[in-house]
Amino acid sequence: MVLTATVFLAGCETVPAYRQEHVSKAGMTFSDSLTGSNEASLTAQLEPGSQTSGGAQASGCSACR
Amino acid sequence: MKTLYLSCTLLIAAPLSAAPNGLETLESSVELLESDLFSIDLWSMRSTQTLGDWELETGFSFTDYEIDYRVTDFDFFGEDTIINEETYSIDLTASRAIQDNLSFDFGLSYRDGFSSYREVWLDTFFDQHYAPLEGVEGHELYENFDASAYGVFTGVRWEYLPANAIASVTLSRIQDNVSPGYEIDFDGIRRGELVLATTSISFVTENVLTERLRSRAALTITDTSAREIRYAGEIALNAAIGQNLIWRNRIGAATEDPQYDAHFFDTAFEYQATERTAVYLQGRHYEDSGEIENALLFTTAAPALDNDSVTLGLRYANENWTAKFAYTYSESDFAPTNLNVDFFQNLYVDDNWTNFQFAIGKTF
Repeated sequence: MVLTATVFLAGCETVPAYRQEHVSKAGMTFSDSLTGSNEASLTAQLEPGSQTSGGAQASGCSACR
Repeated sequence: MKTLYLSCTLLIAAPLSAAPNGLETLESSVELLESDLFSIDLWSMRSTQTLGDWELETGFSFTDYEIDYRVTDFDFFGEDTIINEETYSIDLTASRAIQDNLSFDFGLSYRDGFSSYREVWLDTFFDQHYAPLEGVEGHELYENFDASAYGVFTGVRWEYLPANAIASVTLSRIQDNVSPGYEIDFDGIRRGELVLATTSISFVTENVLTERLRSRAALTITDTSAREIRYAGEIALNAAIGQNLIWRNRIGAATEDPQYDAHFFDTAFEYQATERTAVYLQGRHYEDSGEIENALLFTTAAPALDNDSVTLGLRYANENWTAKFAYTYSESDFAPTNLNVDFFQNLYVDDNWTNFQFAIGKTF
């Protein structure tokens, strides 16, 4: 777990910008823009538990969460 | 409203060749999600602009819900109807560099209307069943409230390995003014919460792992009034596995005591067909354990849900323009309930959904 966390926080190597041709492609980047995101904005309508940000899950139900 | 939206889009789009000073990007999108009973249209605009040392991001969206509301055979107080509801939202984010590799964000958001089709459906159910109960103890609590929400957030973003690794922390506070739920027993009518206040903190890190691997990890801790803390996280890994082929993977999960769990994973292959065009195919699986509830008689909580999706997408980019088109087909499968007492079987219904997305953007 520590190894995994280290890899995710620091990478396997420092990659200089001139060697980032592949990781800079549009399909490789993470984006919240309307054209760059790979996820539909309405996904949370079908999958309410997939939201990792946003407000309360206000279902209109007095007992539901 | 759609006409107004299109007019606004044209008004902004027309002078694109003579964009205002500082405007960096302008995007617009439309998304249509449909099933047999539900139709949700989302129209969005987003821009980024530089003003001195500040970078501003502005978003506006309009959501149109159309619901074929159907009641069960044993629901003698309800009636079938077509529901139309509209929701507007706006958000503004201001960012500023405070040191090399360190920036500060501050944002505001406001929403007028419901945030999901489930809320719209349940609001109609409560309206049909509780508005007529004049004379019943507690009826003075009933009111057809309008839903809205406003939020504020702030955060910092640190590029701790230049061009390789970014970490950010965001703290947000949102107040949801909800249309409450109602219940009735021998003591009369009871009303649910009118306001749900949510405080959340998010940690995100994005890294270039190798020349061909990029990752992102996120953890969000959310505290909503009258509820236990929810933990949600996701990890994504993108790999360039060939000169023209990309493989994207993501897993995520959320949990909340005493009994809510959700998780999902998706995987996608993207092929760079030409210098400017790429196509991708994505598969996705989601499941949750159903909403947490402690209802008195008839539960309105959603039962456990499985949702499987497949997406076919097309992406286009040149020096100044980007565009995306995607089609998604989904199958939703709710866990069985006791249909003899389940008033909500036409809300939590197994269904097939289609989603069309089209987005276009210009960089200045």
